[in-house]
Formats: sequence, structure tokens, C-alpha cells
Amino acid sequence: MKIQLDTLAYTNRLRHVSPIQKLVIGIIMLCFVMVAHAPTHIAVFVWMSVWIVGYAGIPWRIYLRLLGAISLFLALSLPPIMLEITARSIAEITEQTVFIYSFGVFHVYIGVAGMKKASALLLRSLSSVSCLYFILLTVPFTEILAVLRRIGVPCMVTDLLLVMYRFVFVFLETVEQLWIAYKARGARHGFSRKMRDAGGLVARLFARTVQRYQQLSIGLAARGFDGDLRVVASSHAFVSRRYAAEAAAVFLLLVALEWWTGR
Amino acid sequence: MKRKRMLSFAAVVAGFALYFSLNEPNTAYAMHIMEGFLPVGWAVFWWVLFLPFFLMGLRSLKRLTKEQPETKLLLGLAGAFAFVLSALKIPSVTGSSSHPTGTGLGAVLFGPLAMTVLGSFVLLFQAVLLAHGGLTTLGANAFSMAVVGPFVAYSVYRLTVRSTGKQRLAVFLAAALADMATYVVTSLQLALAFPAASGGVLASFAKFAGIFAVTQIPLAISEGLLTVLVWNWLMVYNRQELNTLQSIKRGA
Repeated sequence: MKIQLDTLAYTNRLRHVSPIQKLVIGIIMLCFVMVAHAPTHIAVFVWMSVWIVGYAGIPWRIYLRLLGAISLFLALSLPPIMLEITARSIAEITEQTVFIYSFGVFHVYIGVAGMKKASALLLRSLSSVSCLYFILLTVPFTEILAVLRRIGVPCMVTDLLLVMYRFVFVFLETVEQLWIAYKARGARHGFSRKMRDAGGLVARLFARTVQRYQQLSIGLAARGFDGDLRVVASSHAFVSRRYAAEAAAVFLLLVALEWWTGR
Repeated sequence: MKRKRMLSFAAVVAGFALYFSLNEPNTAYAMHIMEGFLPVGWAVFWWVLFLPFFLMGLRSLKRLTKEQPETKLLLGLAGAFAFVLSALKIPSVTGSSSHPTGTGLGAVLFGPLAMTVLGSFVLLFQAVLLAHGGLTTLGANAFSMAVVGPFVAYSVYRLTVRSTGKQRLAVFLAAALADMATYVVTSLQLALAFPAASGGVLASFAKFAGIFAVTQIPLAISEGLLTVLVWNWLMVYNRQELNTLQSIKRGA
């Protein structure tokens, strides 16, 4: 079983640009978006999309599909923020409303202020998601780990993440196989039967987890494991001057834009 | 006038029906606050609140691995197990399917402190590999799902076992209430960040909790049932494997 984002992170055109450079760009933009305002959000979104589709060469169909999934989620999160409920009389609702519905003493309404708040939130989320996607689509997880090790994150954290990353894919495949086996024996219908199958599946997966652990610990003990997982980080990454120059220039422009429109 | 009222009532009902039917498949990750959704102040606030618990968990794990180095491998594999568990689809009592959070089972199997660390890593993986949740909101999500969830699950489990002695009931309550606690905390996080224009944080909390209740309560019950079934399987067939976990649980 493949995870699409992970595959793309290893095969995109920015693969050989230094992960530190890409992470610095992505994280600085993410932090910047958190404090910026609407016009800048749109600019960041467009610029990050240019990086993803243009420079990293992620097919635009895939990028659009990724954004579509997020947008649906976002669209479902916004109504609760816009809707206001009050038990006071209609006359007391002072703000402008676009929609109002009353049942009994309660009034459900969407105010203009709520709409504004929600649209600002929509823009901030979309532009920060584009920064997140830039990181996810261009930096493979193993390289994030290498960077974490270099900046001095405790080896307990990086080792656990390393083992997890290694086995997430193994277990996803195991689940798929177990599921096929269940179906081949006639997966059952109805809620309680389905539930029982799912329970059995999780229990089998747990048993496999423990088996894998025993295999892994014997294998590593045979190679003299003493508590540290030492991995060789050989990379041919280089810091790209061209991208650094563009990132710095556009970042300054964005700061100027924010300063100008945010006044 | 009456006709107009009927029409608008029908529109509201249809709106809600559409909203919830669209929302149902996403319930799985509905308790993840997405990237950029929280204002910067609240994002930082939840990070600050979450980190002490994470460091405490990490320290207890460090002590364990110092005694037995291979415990580190077991923990890593347990984390991968928790991630894959959260990616599974389980049937829900409402007839559709959704993803379990796995916090209840994890807390009972691995202990609450270990689950805090592993749960945070699961959330990190969900953000980095699946783009569910986010990096700036990781603090808030981890606090509700990896700190509050496991601690509620574990204390409910211990209390029920001690007072009634019924293992299955304890496991069911632990998993279901962990989900409920996570959902209440997430509603609170959203309410604090987005107080209602009329009524403030409390009204906003009622609003978020009310809307999430429709999908989250059935989900909590389904997860409770699933966890009991898993527990039964493990008790019957996998005693030996469960004993392996003793090395993690001692520290918690």
C-alpha cells in the first residue's frame, strides 16, 4: 500500500535541493501566514502553488485533488463558526444578518460579521495548507528526521519516529492482506458481524506487531544493538542559490505587501 | 406567509441533512483541527500546554529504554500499530463507517504516559503523511487526543476495574469516554478561539458540542464496542503477546 504524499516527496523535481533549505522556506512561510492578513494570504497561496506545481513538478491534477479534499473538510468546518444562536428577540439582534430562521424563542442567524470572520479563516487555512503541502510534497520523511537529528532533537524521539516510519508501511500492507483473507473467507454483512470481523482484524494486527517486534529485536541484537539506531545519512543535496534568491526576494515583497495592506 | 415558512423550514432541514451526510465520512478526522484554523495566540497556547506532558512521557520512556534497550523497538512498533489502527475503517452504529482514534485501546495496552508520546507521533504522521491536522495545530490536537484521551481512558479503566471488577465494561467505558473527552476538549478549543457574537464562549461551546455530538457520540459507542471485541480476542488468543507489553507498562 502506498501513501501518495510520501511517494511524491521522493520523486519530485526538488528532491535534490537541500532539505534544510526547503524546510526553512516552508516553515518561515507557515509562521508568516499565521500573523499575516487576507491579501497576503492569497499571494502566499499563489506563490506556494507555483513552487509545488512549477518547481517541484507535482502534476496539477494531483495538487488540485489534494486541495479539493482539504476544501471539502474546510467547507464543513465553517458553518458552525458562522451560525449564531440566540434566545433574545429579533429586535435585539443589532448586527446585519444575511439569513435568519426562528423556531420558538430561538433564532438561528448568520451575521455579516460572522461571514467576514469565516472568509478570513478560509483564506488563512488555505494559504497555510499550501505551505504545509509544500513541505509534505518536497521533503521526504527520512530527510526531516535527518534534520531533526542535526538540530539536536533527543535521539529517543528520532529513533521512535524512525521505527514507526519503517513499520507503518509494513503494517498497512499487513492489514490489506488480512482484510483480503477475511473477505476470501466470506466477509459478513450486518453491523455486529462486521464489527466482529474488524475486532478480529485489529487483534490479528496486534499479534503481528508483537511478532515483528520479536523478529526485529533478535535481528538487531545479533548485530550488537545497544540502544541507539545509527543510520548513515548520505545525501547529494545541495543548497540552490537560485531558489534561495527567489525565496528571499519574494519574502521581502510579501512582508512589504503585508505592511502596506495591514496598516 | 405560511407557505413561505414551510419552505424555509424545509430548506433548513435539507441543509442540515446535507451537512451531516457530507460530514459523516469525515467524522474520522473531524476531531483534528486543520492547519491554520486556530489563531496564532491559541495555537501557541495549546503547544505550551501540551509540551510538559510530552516531555514527562518522554522521560518515563527514556528510563524504560535505559534498562532494556529493545523496549525502544517495541514502542516504535506500538506507535506504528496505533497509526495503522487509526487508518482502519470500522462500521459505525449509524450504518456508515469511520476511523477509530485508538486512544482507549492504546492507553489500556501501553499505559497513559507511553500513549501520550505515541499518540503525538501518530498525529504527527497523520499531518505529515496524510495531511490530516497540521503542524501549527499539532499542539491543540495532541492535547485533546494524546493527553486528555489516554488519561481519561486509563483512569476510567482503573476505576471501573477496581469498583466493579468487570474487565469488559471497563474497556468499553475507557474507549468510549476517551473519545467523548477528546470531542469535548476539541469543542472547547474551538469555542475559546471562536466565541459567539451573542453569548460568548459558552454559547459557542454549546454550538460546537451540539453539532459534533451528532457524529461523535455514535462514533464513541462504536469504538467502545470495537475495543471490547479486540480485548476479547486478545484475552482468548494472545495472552503471550500481551505479556510482552509488561516491559512498557511497568513505567507508567
